[in-house]
Amino acid sequence: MVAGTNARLRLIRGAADASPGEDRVSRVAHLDDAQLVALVREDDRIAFEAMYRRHAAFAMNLAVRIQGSATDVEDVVHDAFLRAHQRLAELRDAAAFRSWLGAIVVRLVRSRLRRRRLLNLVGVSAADPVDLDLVASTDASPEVRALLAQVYALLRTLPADERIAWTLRHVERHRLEDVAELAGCSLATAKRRIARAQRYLTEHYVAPYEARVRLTEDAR
Amino acid sequence: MSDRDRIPELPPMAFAEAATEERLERVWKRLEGDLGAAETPGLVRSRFRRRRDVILLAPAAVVVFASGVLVDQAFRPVAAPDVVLGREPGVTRTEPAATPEPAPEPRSESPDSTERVRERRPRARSPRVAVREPPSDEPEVVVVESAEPAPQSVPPEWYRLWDEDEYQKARETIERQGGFEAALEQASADQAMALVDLARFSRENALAIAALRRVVDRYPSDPNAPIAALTLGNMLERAGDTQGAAEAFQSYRALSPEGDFAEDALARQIEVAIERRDHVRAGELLTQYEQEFPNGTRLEELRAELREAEAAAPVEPVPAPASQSSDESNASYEPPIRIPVKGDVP
Repeated sequence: MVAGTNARLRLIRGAADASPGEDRVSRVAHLDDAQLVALVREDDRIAFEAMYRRHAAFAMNLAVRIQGSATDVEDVVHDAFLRAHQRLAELRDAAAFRSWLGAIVVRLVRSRLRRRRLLNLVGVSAADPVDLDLVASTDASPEVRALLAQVYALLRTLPADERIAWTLRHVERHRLEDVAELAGCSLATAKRRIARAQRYLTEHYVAPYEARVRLTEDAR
Repeated sequence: MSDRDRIPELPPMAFAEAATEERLERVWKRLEGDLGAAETPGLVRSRFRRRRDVILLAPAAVVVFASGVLVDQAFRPVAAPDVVLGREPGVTRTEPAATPEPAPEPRSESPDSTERVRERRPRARSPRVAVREPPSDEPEVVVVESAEPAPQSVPPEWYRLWDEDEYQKARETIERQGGFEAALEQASADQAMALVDLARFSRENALAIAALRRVVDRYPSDPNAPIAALTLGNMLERAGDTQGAAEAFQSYRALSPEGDFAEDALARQIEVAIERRDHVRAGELLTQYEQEFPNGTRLEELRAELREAEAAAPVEPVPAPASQSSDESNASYEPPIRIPVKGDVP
């Protein structure tokens, strides 16, 4: 890993000459994930902060889009990075940190969804309401917002595994192989979950009136 | 096909960016707090370890208390204060031969070779001297100025905190007062070594390495320099920078040819050369080792390692990294400080 070594060498040599006001994280920001992982494994906190700055938004957006709300999302991201730091030695391919972190986030969200679903079933807690303002962009048209509201309302009623698999495939737009990896299941299982969720959504989705008219005209 | 057969594709632009700066910063603050609180590399300690710590805490407390009582009894009758002079760069203090050298303080950190070296370094205690009554028969102190940058007349606040083992507060003070690089820029050799301590305490290895480099490059004549070079080599090797490690071990031998760790440093250089598959260089270094340490404890082991490496791969020196400047490439195995080493092959 000559490239990684060089980068570290430059970093180390440059550190002594850096100006006092320079952002410490920016000095390692140019390193790739594999190099940062190597530094974090050496207990370099600045490298860990750089990894956080690079991937935290991805982790948070992933959690929000699966949940459909911001409830406990900060806890999820916090716990995901803590767990990642603690188990970094288990990461075999350092360059794959992002997807590995994503899998941690998915597992945490899944646990949370299952717990909430159980509490909901026994009447202890209500399911999280969908926070449309958080999920939908302000630039989204009213039709798209209505679509998202309906889809997320339907997703809430699905089991956590199916909800996660469908969201990873159709919202996060991951490849099937990546969905399986993130969800921690086989490719066949991932396909089955997505198909089951898709079937359920298709059965229950009601298109807006204008769309129905257009579809009818197309059919003619 | 009914209208229920199709769910329109969800456009990527339809989704909002939930990860706002404010949220991310809030999470980072929490993480940072957890990192600071963690004494061990793993952030969350296992239940077993926590329980074990609780079990060990009671006898440890008893031992500490008893030790404190014993120490108190042992030192109370002494009339003269136990003055420990701090060692500042460029400042030589003469003391009577009878004055005992302060014993190095034991460390509770990892027992690797680097730590063993650090344990041998006496800790500066100058601020404590200032608050005690000096004995009337205190010897005259001769101060010799050197050409090295003049040290600060008043030790910085962070250095005082470091001296009192308040590492966390010292690290925070450094950040408040301009940052690590500013502190390092103005640091004496002793202070730079203290900065190494602080950086390693806060798991900032890159900063620790920068501070060690500063000691080796700026204060080559300081007694700290050889230890800094050896520690630098250890840290760079662990970080995967084998070339930097080789240079640092070479620096140690240049700075302290008769030092306690000269043999070890040369052995480490050989190992690094073997690791880099530079068998020619490894052979040269091994010849040096045979000449300088004919009864070296690692001679046979190193010979076997080199034989094995040569049998496994053809002899070809590893080219210098392409991204480095030509000057750096030409000096691939030269130490940062150009001091000839006894018997060194040019």
